[in-house]
Amino acid sequence: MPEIYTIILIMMLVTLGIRVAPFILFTRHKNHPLLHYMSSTLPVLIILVLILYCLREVKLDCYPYGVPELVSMLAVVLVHYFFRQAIISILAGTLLYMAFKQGLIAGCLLF
Amino acid sequence: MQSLKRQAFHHSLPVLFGYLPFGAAFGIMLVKAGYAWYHALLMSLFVFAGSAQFIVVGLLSLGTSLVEIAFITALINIRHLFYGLSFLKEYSGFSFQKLYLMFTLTDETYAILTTKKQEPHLNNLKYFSYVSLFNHSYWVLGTLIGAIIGEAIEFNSEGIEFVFLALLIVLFMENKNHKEKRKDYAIVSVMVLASLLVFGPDYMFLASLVMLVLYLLIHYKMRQKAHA
Repeated sequence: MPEIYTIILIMMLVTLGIRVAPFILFTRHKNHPLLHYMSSTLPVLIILVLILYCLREVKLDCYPYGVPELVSMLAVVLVHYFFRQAIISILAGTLLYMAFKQGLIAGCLLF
Repeated sequence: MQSLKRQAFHHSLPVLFGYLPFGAAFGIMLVKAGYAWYHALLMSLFVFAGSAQFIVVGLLSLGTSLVEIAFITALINIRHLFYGLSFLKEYSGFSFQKLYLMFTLTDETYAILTTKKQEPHLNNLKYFSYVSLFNHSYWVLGTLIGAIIGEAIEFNSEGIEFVFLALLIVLFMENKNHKEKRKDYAIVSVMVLASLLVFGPDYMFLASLVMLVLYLLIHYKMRQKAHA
């Protein structure tokens, strides 16, 4: 069996396991305030961790000094702030970033 | 009054707009990495974990081991464990329907359902199932579109992985109650940067997660003492 199928299977079991776990582990403690506190604060903080994790390879000390990432992230924030539509915000930032990465911005600036 | 299915569709529309580009980007990335469109489809259908799927695509080309993939999938998805807490009452007692509902409890599904279940006419398994099913199908559809485009068209997809970061930013911004959490954000950011410096890019996620849980436990204990 090609490896990709094994990978999919493993990921499925892990993901399913995690999502089913609370119903097996926590039923007894369902009203515990600690769990309530965790469930209200952990998710958004993990999203913050993930954002920083995505940026882990960005080098600030050499070209392009993280500018593509910074500008594209700013674009997402601004577009989302004004339009509140996920698809537009995501597309705006992503297209901008792709333009940076593919040399289109540098090309335009030089021109 | 509109049918439950209609309402569920309306409420899930924002997710459609998030999952289509995100799913498509994943489909494109996996296909460009050398896999077939149906591999992408299978993964989105049976795993349904955008963040994990995205990160794994990046790891595949590095020849990461199965154990490491399992591990990082677990780490990235661990927050879903807490989503189940809000639905302990509704989803307990085994049935395949409930199993599916548990399986599809992602960030977006959770966000919609926790808000909407406060309305009595929406607080039922039928509504939950429709929303979950719609969200799941959007993800699969997005992946399919992306995978097919990725296979059919030759284009430079460099930089497309940014879609994930863009989605995270949007999710972060969509969260309510930022005001009282500013200090938490600052502390967590420092912890993550410290993890990166001390443990390097490969282990920083695990280290950050451990520190985060410890931080929340300490925070909780401190709050308990303050209220006592």
